[in-house]
Amino acid sequence: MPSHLNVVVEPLSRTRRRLLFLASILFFLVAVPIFVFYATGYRYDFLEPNAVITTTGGLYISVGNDAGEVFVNDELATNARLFRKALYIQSVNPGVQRINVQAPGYQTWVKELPVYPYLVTEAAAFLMPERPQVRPITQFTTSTGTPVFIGVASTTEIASFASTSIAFIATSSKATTTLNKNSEYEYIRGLFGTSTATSSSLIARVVDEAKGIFTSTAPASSTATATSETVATTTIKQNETVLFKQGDDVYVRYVGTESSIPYYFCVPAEIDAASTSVRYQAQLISAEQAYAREQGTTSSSTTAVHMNNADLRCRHTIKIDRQWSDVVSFQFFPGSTDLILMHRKDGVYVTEVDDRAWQNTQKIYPASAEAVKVDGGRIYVQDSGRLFEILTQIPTK
Amino acid sequence: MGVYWLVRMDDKSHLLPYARRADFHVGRATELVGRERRVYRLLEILPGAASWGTLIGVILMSIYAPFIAAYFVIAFALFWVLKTGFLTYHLRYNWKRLRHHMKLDWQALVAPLPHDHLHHVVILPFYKEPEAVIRATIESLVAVRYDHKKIIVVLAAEARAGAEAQQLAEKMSQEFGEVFEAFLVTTHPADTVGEMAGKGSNAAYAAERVRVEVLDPRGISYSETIVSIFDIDTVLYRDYFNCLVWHFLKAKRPLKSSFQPVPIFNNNMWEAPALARVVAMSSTFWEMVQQERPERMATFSSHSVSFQALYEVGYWQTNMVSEDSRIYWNLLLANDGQYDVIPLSYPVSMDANAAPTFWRTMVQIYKQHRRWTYGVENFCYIMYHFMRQPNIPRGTRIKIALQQAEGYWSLVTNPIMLFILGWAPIFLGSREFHKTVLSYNLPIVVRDLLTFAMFGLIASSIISLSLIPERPKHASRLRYVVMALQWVLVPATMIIFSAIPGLDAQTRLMFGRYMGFWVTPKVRADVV
Repeated sequence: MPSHLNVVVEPLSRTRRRLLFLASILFFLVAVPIFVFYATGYRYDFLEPNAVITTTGGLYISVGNDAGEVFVNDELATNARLFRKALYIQSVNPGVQRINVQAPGYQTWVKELPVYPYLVTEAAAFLMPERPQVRPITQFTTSTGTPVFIGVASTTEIASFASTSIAFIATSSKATTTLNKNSEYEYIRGLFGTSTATSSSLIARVVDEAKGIFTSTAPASSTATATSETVATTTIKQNETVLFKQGDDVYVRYVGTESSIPYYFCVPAEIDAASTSVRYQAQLISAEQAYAREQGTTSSSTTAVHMNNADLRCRHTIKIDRQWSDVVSFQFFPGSTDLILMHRKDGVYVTEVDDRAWQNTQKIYPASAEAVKVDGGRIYVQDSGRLFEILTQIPTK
Repeated sequence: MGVYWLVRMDDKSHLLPYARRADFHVGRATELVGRERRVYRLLEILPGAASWGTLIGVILMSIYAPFIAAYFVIAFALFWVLKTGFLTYHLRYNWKRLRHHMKLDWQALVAPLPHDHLHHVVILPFYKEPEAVIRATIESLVAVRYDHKKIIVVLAAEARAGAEAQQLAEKMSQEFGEVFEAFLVTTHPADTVGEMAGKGSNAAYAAERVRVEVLDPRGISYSETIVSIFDIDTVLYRDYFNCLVWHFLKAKRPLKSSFQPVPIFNNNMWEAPALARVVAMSSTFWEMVQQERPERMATFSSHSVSFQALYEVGYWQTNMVSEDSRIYWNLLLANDGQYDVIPLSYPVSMDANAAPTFWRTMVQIYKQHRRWTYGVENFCYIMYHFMRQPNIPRGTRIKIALQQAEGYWSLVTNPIMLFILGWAPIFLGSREFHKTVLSYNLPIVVRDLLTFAMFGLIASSIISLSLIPERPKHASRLRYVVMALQWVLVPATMIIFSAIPGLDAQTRLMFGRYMGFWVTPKVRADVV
């Protein structure tokens, strides 16, 4: 037997264990402050010869598109971590940062946001297709479900400005014996207020506009739509947010509890963000007055900006940027209270509520839209008597 | 026989002075009266209150002081990484030592040492375990490299198990009786006043019977008799007794020492589900770590001790659940702190807890671990007697008390704090906290630290693969891969089979809902 196999090994010596224990304690005492400072936002650049300890903040950007990339001051955020379905970018220097979110085929979302030390600035980007995406909804379809536009010269271009991944047929023939009736068409047509004559939709819209009535169909998630017939035409409530029109402008007002107010209604109180606050104040007075008038109550403009806690300064109403265009109708974007769907004279647009910098506005349909409806989380448009669903994602082929 | 048993219990002349106290074998507060009862009751409440207080405290801190809670969570995650590294170092060292000891020729090592005067008593308490389990254990005894005529086997049956168990014991006696110096079958009477039905009362009864019926008639000295108490599923490695004798003869104070092998729960490793394997091997690893720091060890499960030492404290306690570790505390107190546990770093194989169905396996593991973690009753016992045993140096008492308190507290709270409450500040913290970089960085830092701590699991995976028995022909080679990867289950097993049963046990003790002894059913693949 080898000699080493006749040696019984003793347990670890106390000295060795004690040394290991003491080394662990020492490491712990040194590491805890380092980790805590790091987690709080302190940074030190070891590669810089004259480096000092700096304080940083963070950005939390909800991209809204799987292919979306985030750029901070034109540099791709490579250190971003996926965090609760959004990108968290840490170690961002305090100051105003220009954020771009872009994806191939989509419009770019751009915003300048203030970043404060130790704090995270949130934002929700949205990306709409550069070229409008539509799905034709026709009165008749082929046996395989292909939409068919009847009585249309084959040379007629249908929605040429848009892109559709759904094949359709345009035929000058009005014969429908070999075609199937499309029940969806009947339903959607019903939403627009007529079931047969395409020309009547235009008349209906003119009448509606003359009455100053907006005939939106609130999505299923809406908790209420109106308090009176008159108000019902201009006020839409979804969850804890109210969307209303006063004069030519559209406003969003938060009516829920202070603790749940969306982040873009607030700025950190202790930060000297004068420009932001001034802008908030200026805009808010008219918004508060508008809402108060609408509700038949006294204007609350004098308390428009107030402290709701020690750290945040919040207001409750935000005006939606209509870019000097007339608003035909408006609605919450399906499934969101952060985005507004506006049918303007110059087209159909999605505008964000967040006005900490300019409100991003992205066009999803051109000016030829006659009427827009939202139903079951989908956006429908009537154009030249034809019906389309507007798609907000480029369909995968 | 029952009458004699009661008479012996009243005779305390052979006991060490401290063991003669009326409260020496106290099992629970209700066995005491007056101030002692109140003190003991308070001690029973303390562990559960501390654990619940900690868990509730973390939640409240997350709500009302989320920043402090976040700092605490980061510090705790770092502590966990270091603890993992610290324990893994011990585990790796013991693994090397264990493998080395398994290769040693212990017979050759013992040969030069005079040891013919030593006798071994092997006590095998059993309840209703099947014949295959008992037979495997006795056959492993037959297979050991040791003079079998120095081994007295006591197959300790329970009267409450019925005639079938006694017939089985008699059958084993007839079959193997001639192999050993003696083969005694004892039947522990049912419903003895003051006893809890369980392994402790059965073993204590068997020890007294072997003294009266074998040791005394044959004039075998108590101090030259080493008692090994084995769970009935214990399968011995061939040199166990040589290894034991070597350590006994080399010990500084052999009669004031217990000898602890490493219980490897691998008998049925190829049949048990992954979850059961992880839990079983985790228990083995904990014992391996403890083998490298003997001053923190208490006896656990199968172990050996001189008959003299046992006799001087009245054998195992008969009125509580965790008799395997309690006997160490009895011996430590009765010997004024002059008592050791000597790690053998030599294995004994036992069964991983596995039932015929997955769900029953889970229930069994939970109940077994609740019984094991009910060992917190020892904390009350230690604290109670440390207040009354001045012969043990105060520093030693404080050190042991703190070690035990930390052990039972961390067993229950650490996994829950780490894997569940670590995220509490994020969900429960105020709006101000949620705006901060700290709130966003907290889960990232904690997740990175815990990922780093995974190196401990990798080490566990490698070590466990080296400890499993040879692959049976019916098992696919792919099972090795599963056995390597099964360690990712550890965060779940730590919570489900360690923290929660531990909290369950402490809560029961806290509210005076005392537990009885639950016998883990033993099955083998061939008898399922």
